[in-house]
Parts: sequence; C-alpha cells; structure tokens
Amino acid sequence: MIQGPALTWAHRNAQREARLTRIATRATLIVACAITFCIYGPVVWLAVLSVSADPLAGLPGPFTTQWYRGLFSDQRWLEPLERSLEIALMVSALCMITAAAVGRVLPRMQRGVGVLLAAFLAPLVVPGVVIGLDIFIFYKMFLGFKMGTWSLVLVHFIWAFPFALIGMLVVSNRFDVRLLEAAADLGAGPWRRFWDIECPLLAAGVITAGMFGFLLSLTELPRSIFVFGHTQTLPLFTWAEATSRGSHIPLIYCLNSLIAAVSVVMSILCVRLLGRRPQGA
Amino acid sequence: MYALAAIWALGVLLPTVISVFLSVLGARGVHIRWTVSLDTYRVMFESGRWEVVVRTMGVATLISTICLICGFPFALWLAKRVKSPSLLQLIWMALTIPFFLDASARTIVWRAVLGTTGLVNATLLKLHWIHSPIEWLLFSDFSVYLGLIGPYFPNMVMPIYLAIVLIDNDLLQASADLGASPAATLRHVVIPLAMPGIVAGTIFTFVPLMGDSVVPLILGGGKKEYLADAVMSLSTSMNYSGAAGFATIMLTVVAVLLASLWFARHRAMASRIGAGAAR
Repeated sequence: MIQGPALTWAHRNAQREARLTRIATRATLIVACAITFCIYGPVVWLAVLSVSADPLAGLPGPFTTQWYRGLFSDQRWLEPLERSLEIALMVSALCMITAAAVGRVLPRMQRGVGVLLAAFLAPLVVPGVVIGLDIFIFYKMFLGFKMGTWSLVLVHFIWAFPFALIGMLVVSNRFDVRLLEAAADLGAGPWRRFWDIECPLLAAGVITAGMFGFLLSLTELPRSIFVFGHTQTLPLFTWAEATSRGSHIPLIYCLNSLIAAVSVVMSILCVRLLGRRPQGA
Repeated sequence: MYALAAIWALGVLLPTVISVFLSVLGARGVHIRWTVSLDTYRVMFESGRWEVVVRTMGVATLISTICLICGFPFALWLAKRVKSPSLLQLIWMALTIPFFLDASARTIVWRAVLGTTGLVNATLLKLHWIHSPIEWLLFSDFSVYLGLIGPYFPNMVMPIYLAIVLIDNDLLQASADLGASPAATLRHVVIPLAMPGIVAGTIFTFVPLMGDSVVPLILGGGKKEYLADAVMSLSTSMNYSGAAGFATIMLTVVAVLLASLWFARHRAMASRIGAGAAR
C-alpha cells in the first residue's frame, strides 16, 4: 500500500512532467512554424510582389497585372523556358525508364542491394557545385566533349535520379512478388505478367519518378552553371538577372511565381500518389 | 540492371571524384598538365584562400546545429504525436515542396524583405519604431543565415523522422513502466536509437549547406567568399585545378561524415540488440 505523502509526490511529479511535455511540444511547434515561414514566406511574397506596381518597394501595391502582361511583350524568357521544358521532359523520361528498371529489381535481389543502393544514392551527399565542376572536368577536359544540352540533361539526371529511385522504391517495396507467381501458374506469359500486373501496380512509382525528374530539372541551378555551354535554361536566366542586379526583376518574379505554382501542384500530386495504398492491401 | 549500374559507375561516380586527380595534376586552361604536384594546395594556403574553407565550415556547422536543435523535437512530435494521416500528409507535402523551388528566385525575394527600402524597414519606419532603416538586415551574416535555415530544414527533419518512426512504442512504454522519466527515456532510448537518422539528417543538411552557391552570393552581397563561390569564381577564371582543390576538400569532408554515419549505424544496431535482450 502506497502511503499518502508518497502518492502526492508521485502525483505532483507526474503533473510536472505533463506540464513540461506540453511546454516542450508547444515550443517545438512554434519554432517549426517559424522555420516553415522562412521557407514559404519568400514564395508567397514573390507572388504578392509579382502583382505589385513597384516590386522593389517595401510595401506592396497598388496591385496590377502589368508585369504578367509584360511577359507577352518582352519575350527574352521564352527561349530559356523552352530549353528548360525540353531538358526537363528528357530528364523526366530518363528518370521514369531507369527508376523503373532499377526500382523493380532492387527489392527482389538477394545480395548486393546495399552496395547498389549506396551507389545510386551517392549523388545525394555530393554538393551540387562539385558534381557540376567534376562533370565538366571529366567530359570536357579529360574527354574533350563540347558542353551543351546533353550535359545539362546529364547533370540534371544525376541530381534527380536518386529522388526518382526513392519514389519508385516506396511503391515497389510494397509490390507482392507472389502475384507474378500466381499469374504464371494461371498461364500468363512474361509479357502478359509485365503489362497486366506489374505495370498497373508500379505505375504510381513510375509517374512519381517522372514528376520528380521534371521538377528537379526545371529548377536546377548549381550543377547547370558549370556545364551549360551555349544553352540557357530558365534558372540560369534567373540567376544571371539576380546576380547582375538586372532590370528584369519584375519579370523574374512573375515567371517564378508561375513555376512555384506548378511545383506546388505537382508536389501535392507526388505525395498523394506515394501515400496511396494499393487497392486491397 | 547491371548494365545500368555499370554505366552509372563509369559515367557518374567516376567523374564525381575526378577533381581529386585534377587537383594534384594541375591544369592550364582546359588542358591538363600530366605532372603530379601539390601546387594547387600550396597556392591555396599562400594566397590565404583557405580561410574560405574555415568560414564555410563554420557557417554550415552553425546552421546544421540550429536545424538539428529545432528539427529533432519536431521530428519526434511528427513521428510519435501526430495521429491524423491527413495532417501527416500535409506536413510531408510542406517539407517536400522546398526541393522543387528555384533557389535564386526564392532567395532574391529576401532582398525585397530585408533591404533598406524593404518590407521590414518600411513597416518599422511607418510605425515610427525606428527613424532610419536598419542596415545590417541585408548583405550581412544575418541575411545569409536567415536565407540558409529555411531551405535545408526539411533535409534534417525527414531522416530523423524516418528513424524515430521505426522505434517500437512498446519500448518507450517499457521504459516508462520501469520508472524512467520522459527525459531519461529520451536520453537512453530514443536518442541512441534515432542516432542513424540524426547523423544522416546532419549529413543531408551539412553537405548542401557547404555547397550552397546561391544564398551567400545573393544575400551576402559578395562581401565574404564561401566554398561554392570560390569553386565558381575559380572555374570562371579558368583556374580549374584551383577549383578542383576546393572540390576535393568538400569531398573529403563528405567522406569523413559518411564514415561517422557508418559508425553511428553500427552503434545503434548494437544498442538495438542490447535493448532487445533487455526486453
């Protein structure tokens, strides 16, 4: 039997702990909100300033759509955007094919998975400028190739592939290989098994891989700076304007507000696709 | 599959470490000199450019530490307290989106916020809280730190979250039942088991911080040089061996960090086995 004073002591202690936990939780959330604000504040502000008459003034307003209309008259951004989209689509296609090829096999391998995974994910831990510089040194200085669209596709692919593979693995790890065996028992050939069973079940992963590739390529800068040759992408255009205190800042705000909107919508789709449980599972 | 792995190794992984070789070979323009020497590093020290390394490491350490201190409790809350799947999905989305934003665009907006005629100063002046604009808000260490914290915070939270989510709730309950206070459970159970995530998060935060080329240049006003700026300006002036020297230093730091991750994983596995035995 616990005595009275001991009980109140334990009780008070528990109360104090509960209060401390509450305070800690609240502090955590406040700090996290502040940091989230550091991420999203600038993006929201970019959009606000893009419809403000004087985007370089402190307080926004009067509001206008003149800068967006200006996008039609000043079309220097058009070519970089076309190049960016072209490259992003190529990287996206590459990511879909390679992430599917690697991602569907990795979970079924018995040995060497760790080594292969580490090799494919290695670019995640190499700073962007190092990859950009090293690709330039290797392909231009050692092998003598000319830089251009292909090298941009290559560095963007190096950047995007680990993310595409992770997205693919989230889905393919849930894939039940017994389904293929069952199909084989029921008389389905290899192609039939691939098209009718693997493809529909792994589609979410492949689509996510493609979207990761597209989005990461569309906004890639640090690697591109070293290997662009004579090709200009939109982030390179933005970068040149941003560092030279150029006169196109309002234009940059408009364009990047639009790109941020596309990024947000596509990221939401990605997370939803990956979070979706396969039917019946 | 194996063909892809081979192409990847030859076309991507081999080039990624090529700067190590170039930094000891040296180059004139885009032509390689095939003589081995340590001139690159000698010049780096004699010209005083090594200070760039120290400065960058300092800033990267500071920001990673801030991200860790703020990110660990947040990841803990996310992994063990958030029960609603839709809230969890929303937070994951919020943490994912920063990867897909244009770095120079999201950074340059800070100028419109922190500049002498920017949002903060304009608001404070209007409220008559200050009489002349605060100068140190932009093109200072402060603006560089502020610009760096946001984008790399998710890199810290995600791996820690993934490590904590794996910790069995029974283990935490057992610790409490045996009379451990929440603080003791945190120290002796949660932190050791989450260590691989903590180290991975630190790597994923520290490495890109070390190589960030956008924020210091746009928000620092080019007053102080950082590693990525040095690599970029050396390669712009066609001093590729010098750039390769700095790239090699970054790769060395990465290697040291990865070794510590490997060590932490082994420690955690050992303590997981220990915890299992104790149960």
